Amino acid sequence: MIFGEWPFVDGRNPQTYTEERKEHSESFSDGDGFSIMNLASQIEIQVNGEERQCPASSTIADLLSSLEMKPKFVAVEQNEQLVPRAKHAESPLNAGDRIEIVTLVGGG
Amino acid sequence: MTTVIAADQPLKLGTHEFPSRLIVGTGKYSTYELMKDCLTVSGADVITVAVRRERLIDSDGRNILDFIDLSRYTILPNTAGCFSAEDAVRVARLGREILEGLENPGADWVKLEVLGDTKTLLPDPVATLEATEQLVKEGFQVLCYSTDDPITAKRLKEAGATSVMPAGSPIGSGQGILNPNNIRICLEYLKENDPEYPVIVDAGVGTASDVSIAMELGCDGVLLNTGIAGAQDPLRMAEAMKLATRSGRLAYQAGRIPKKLYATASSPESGTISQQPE
Repeated sequence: MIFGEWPFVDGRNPQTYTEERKEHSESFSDGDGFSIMNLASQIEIQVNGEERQCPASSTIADLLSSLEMKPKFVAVEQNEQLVPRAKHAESPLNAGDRIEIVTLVGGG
Repeated sequence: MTTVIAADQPLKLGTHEFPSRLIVGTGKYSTYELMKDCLTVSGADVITVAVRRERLIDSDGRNILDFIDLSRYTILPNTAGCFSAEDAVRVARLGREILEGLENPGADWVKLEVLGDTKTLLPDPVATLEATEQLVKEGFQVLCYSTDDPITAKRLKEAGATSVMPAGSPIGSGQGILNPNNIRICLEYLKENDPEYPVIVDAGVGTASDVSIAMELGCDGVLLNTGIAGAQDPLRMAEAMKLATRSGRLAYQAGRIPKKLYATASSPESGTISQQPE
């Protein structure tokens, strides 16, 4: 099922994907469904060491929301450079990006 | 009428001040609920956390931050797991970013750990020094995990470390204070003409007496994690560590008697009804 793989292949809540699709369909769908967008505008990035696909024109903020992460609890690096929270929405993802999304955990 | 002992000075770490001299970690607890209770019982005002990759799948949705009262505790993010100065600097920036977002006062400092190898988890002194210099430049108050080597400690202070935190023994080893004489020399060097400079024993503490020894030596505080989290009854150990910090501190301030080889009688030597041996 092609929709199930959009935009991030991780088996997360399809509801989020539906909302994401709506958002993105306004900006770059041809109005004819999602399959063209799906095939034509995906890029490969690495998130926390795992290969992932995401829509070509998405931002760090889009990535966090598709992963259902609370932006308040995480910090993001793009290619080993910290991207401050205020810049997430204006930081586009590029093919080959190495993204790190970290949070706080128990430690000594 | 009760006799009251004067209240202690707060623990001063750079611009931060805390009533408790015990800093506790949040790792290795079997549940977040137990962690939360142990933090409360320990009386700590500062708690350490680590920075790690967020799980992308299979996350149960529970974040440690849901179990920490951010208005009660100052969070001290560490750079545990870093083996180079570059990685430690990156992790420090990431920790600051999260704490700034949470508006926690801990956003301006870091517990710097740059480790040499995975077997001993001992600090790499050269890389620790490099990372300290960089982080100080970036405005961090740097609390440096260090070996108990007095020369390294001195160099870290000169590089601008807010506090030097010598290890009592390797992390999580529970061996206590292996070389009290080195800690003594660290204290002497770091506090020379600067008696307020804070020195904290970090790592290796296994039980309450280890904490007391560190405090009796004149350390300003103790940082521990496994000693509580790994105890058979972590809650009781949290209480024990709190009391040990306090009693060690009081004993230090009170000034212990010198150690002597032979006995000195506590009761009067004259007026005894028995005949004294020659």
